Amino acid sequence: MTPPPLLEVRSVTTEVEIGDRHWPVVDGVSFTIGRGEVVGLVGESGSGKSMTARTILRLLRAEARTRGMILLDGVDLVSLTRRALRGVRARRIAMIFQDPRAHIDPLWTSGDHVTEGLRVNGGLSGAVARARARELLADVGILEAERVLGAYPGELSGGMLQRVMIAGALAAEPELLIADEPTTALDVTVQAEIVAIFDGLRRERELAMLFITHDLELASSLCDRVLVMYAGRVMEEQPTSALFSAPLHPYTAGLLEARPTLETKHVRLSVIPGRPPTPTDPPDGCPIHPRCAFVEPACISAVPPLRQLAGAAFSACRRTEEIRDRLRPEAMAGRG
Amino acid sequence: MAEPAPLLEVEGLEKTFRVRRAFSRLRGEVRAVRHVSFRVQQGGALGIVGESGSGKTTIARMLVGLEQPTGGRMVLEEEELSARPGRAERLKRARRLQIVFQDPYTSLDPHQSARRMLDEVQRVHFSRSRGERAARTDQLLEAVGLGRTEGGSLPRELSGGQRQRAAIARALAAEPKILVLDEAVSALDVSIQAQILNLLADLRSDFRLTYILISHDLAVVRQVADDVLVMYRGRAVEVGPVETILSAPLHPYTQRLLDSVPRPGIVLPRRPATLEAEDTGCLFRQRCPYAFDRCVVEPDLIHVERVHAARCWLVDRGAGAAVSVPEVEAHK
Repeated sequence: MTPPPLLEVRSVTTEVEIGDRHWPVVDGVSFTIGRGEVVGLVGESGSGKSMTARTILRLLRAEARTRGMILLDGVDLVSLTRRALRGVRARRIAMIFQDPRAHIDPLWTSGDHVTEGLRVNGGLSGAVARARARELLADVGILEAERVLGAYPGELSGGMLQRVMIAGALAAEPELLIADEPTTALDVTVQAEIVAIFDGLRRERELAMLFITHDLELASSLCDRVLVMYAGRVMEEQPTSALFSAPLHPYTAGLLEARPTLETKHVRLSVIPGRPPTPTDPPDGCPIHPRCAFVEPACISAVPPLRQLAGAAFSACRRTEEIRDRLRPEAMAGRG
Repeated sequence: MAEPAPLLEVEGLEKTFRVRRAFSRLRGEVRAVRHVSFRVQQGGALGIVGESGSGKTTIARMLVGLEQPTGGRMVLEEEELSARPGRAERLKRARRLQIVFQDPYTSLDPHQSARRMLDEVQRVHFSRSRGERAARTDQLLEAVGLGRTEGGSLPRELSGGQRQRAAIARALAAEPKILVLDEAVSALDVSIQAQILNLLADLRSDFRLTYILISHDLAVVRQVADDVLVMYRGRAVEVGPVETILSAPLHPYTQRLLDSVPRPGIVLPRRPATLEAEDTGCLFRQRCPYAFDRCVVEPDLIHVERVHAARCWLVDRGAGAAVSVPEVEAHK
């Protein structure tokens, strides 16, 4: 029997106020994360991936409404009091963001930032906290730990600062790290270094991660499983290697095909025509249907649910079984 | 046979900034661009790649006159561009060199529709009647795939992809020879990025454009550029045809860049982060796995073929058989 997951997100919907009413930006999302597992949440801007992460930690505007269950070791975070939720944020689930400069106080040194949680939540004295901070910086590959601890954010590169933010997030020894586009603002070489740190944390500490990115290739380098989101809904979920070799949803296949590659120059890139809907103007039925080459009348009349096809393979396309052979990369390449 | 004179020739271009950062004790000089030279032929497409701080955007800004070089020459159609252009010269340059930025939201006038923008560019550069301008505006909107409604919309009413189309149309309105694309597709979602990359391919042939593409994304460079200049900390460290650079990179930094491109299931070994970088010798040597004693002196660009050169002692034939170019497995 498989052990119960660390986190289970069950039919979660989050609505936010836009104009004079509430609209869903996360719409019936379900997934699980096991201990030490890295799950990727991939989608284009506006797909709801960041809102899903923020929903988990309730980092939403006050008027936002969430339905469904978010179970951390069986305890529902949605119904937790604010005070109890603060405890979860301080100790069990940490979050890091795309732009460390927007999340680290410019007038605090790295040392102030990393030791804050240790002093406030861990009750460590200044000197002990500082020694622990040095270890944490070493864990994220910072060689000159003492100098970096004394440095202000303005004196550090973006990559170094992201390492500091990760060290700060690890201070409380969380079980789950939510990383929202943590490398998007970084150079590709630094991105590879940060991904290597995450991979080490997963292996050495069994740290579970929800890794949010717009970059399918990046998700594929690190994640065990990937969920592809569109218009607030999960379109597909698969183990990473299967997602790339045999996508189940036309949207995933389209994304894989649209990316230019290093190997060849394409005469034309295949495109997904049109653009994503806004939350206030959702299409009927399957949200991708206006942009889908495989659309049928039934795709428009009802919203297709995410269905389990086999073990860890889920698709929200009605026609997956019928068209899956045509979605494979080699078949798509011939479609032009 | 002699090559035709290049459309654009950049020789020994330099830019040194004096810096004093807020909330920081750092001050001094930053050599953003260090003696960079390249040529672009009419109809060519040069990609300039490198990480932040490599100087690639500073080169773009100097080309279009937004930044003044502190050294070197830029020659466009056999005529030297002034480092401190006056008004007339700026106008003349704008007719020949246009730039499209990463974020059209901050580079477009928020109070002007695409139509009005295109009209204004034509009024500045050409003596055309209102009717002629309107006809040309229609052509430009159609060329970039914007409809009548979108043409009349303000930037904030457009999607990211549509805004970038509007920015490209505005650049084309001046009928430039060279379009400088400064991370012009970097902020776009994959599905939209593919549309704009296809548009750029169409426009290049339809308008006989020459591209200078600044990008950190090697796959985008592969799609658009014919030749590549790899920059590291202000230096050109490798230059050559795009297929050669991507399939047989010579400089260890280029190899690192290529290795770092995410691939399914591949995580690179962890590397420690260090604070400061030497400013003498080879600028990459502290991060370079192959650094040896010779690297305290910076090499020139060393040609391995007529069109392919790298600034690395490892490619110097004089270095002897003991040192060979390391193989990079990921690119086979």
